[in-house]
Amino acid sequence: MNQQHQNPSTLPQFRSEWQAGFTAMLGLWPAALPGALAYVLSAQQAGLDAPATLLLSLLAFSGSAQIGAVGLLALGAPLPIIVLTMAALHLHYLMLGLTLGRRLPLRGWRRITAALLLTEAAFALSAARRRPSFGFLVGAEASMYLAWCGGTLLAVLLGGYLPADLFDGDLVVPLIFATLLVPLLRGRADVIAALTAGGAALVLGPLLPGGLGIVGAGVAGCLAAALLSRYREKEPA
Amino acid sequence: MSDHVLLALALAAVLGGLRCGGFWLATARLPGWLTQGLGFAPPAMFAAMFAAAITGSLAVGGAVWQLPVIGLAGLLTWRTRRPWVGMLLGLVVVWVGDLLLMQ
Repeated sequence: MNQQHQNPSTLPQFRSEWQAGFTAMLGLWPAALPGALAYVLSAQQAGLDAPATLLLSLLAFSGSAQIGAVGLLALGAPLPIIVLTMAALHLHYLMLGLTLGRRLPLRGWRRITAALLLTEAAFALSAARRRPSFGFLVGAEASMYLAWCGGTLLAVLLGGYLPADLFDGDLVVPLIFATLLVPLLRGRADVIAALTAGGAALVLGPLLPGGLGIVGAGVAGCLAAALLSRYREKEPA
Repeated sequence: MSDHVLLALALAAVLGGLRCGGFWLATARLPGWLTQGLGFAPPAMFAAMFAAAITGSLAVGGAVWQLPVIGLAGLLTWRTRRPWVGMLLGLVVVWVGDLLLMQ
């Protein structure tokens, strides 16, 4: 029997953390539904049938990757190109996992469970906590998985009744990113990191292919903030 | 197996690999400056994604009138420290604005 089963407070604590994560994500459900609808409408335009549309949500669980992939599919791009492009566009998942994994060391099945459903929103909610926990993270992930897959199912059922351009031209994705970014700005160094990364993304985005611009900008932001912190540590009090 | 099912499986494998890869790399022994820098990754990555999303949306004809709405949503989130408050209000304003502009 491992230590986890010997400690009676572990399971209730996990359950409480799981519920906290699940509930914290509920506020983002309204944002998942329009995204799911946009994905389903794009998938229909690309010729995906309802089961394939649902399967993509169940397996890939990434709105931006799914919308991007079916968009490329509609343009007639071959499968390897679509997959490689989406991999490049989502290199930041590597960094999200790396960052969260440093603060929340996990092993074995816990690591795989936490990693497989990791999204930007679950990362942001967990990273904003002083002590991230496995229960909170998987609760938040399960909540968004339910919202995304449920939203996809709902959108598949509604899809035939809605205009294809319903969400065209809306700045919904930047709006979501902005509200997730703000709670992460807890000090001067965080603001420096964000400003540097945002500025670098504007410069690097058009210069580098795929998601490399975002990754490069993120690295630049981290370096700038780390340099500032080191400089302030060395300053005489 | 249809091409669409193959796409779903391939995409799941690639994204799953990236997601797991990050957690796996986190167990590696890293130099101090890198560990310190990674502490700033959350705001840095989100700011980079935010900037890319803004420019990407505007490049494909995104509604410029919604930029102040994003600012308002950010302000609300900052005041309340609850992302869903700013997000929900922002989405409502966007949808109502769309409806009014369509008329």
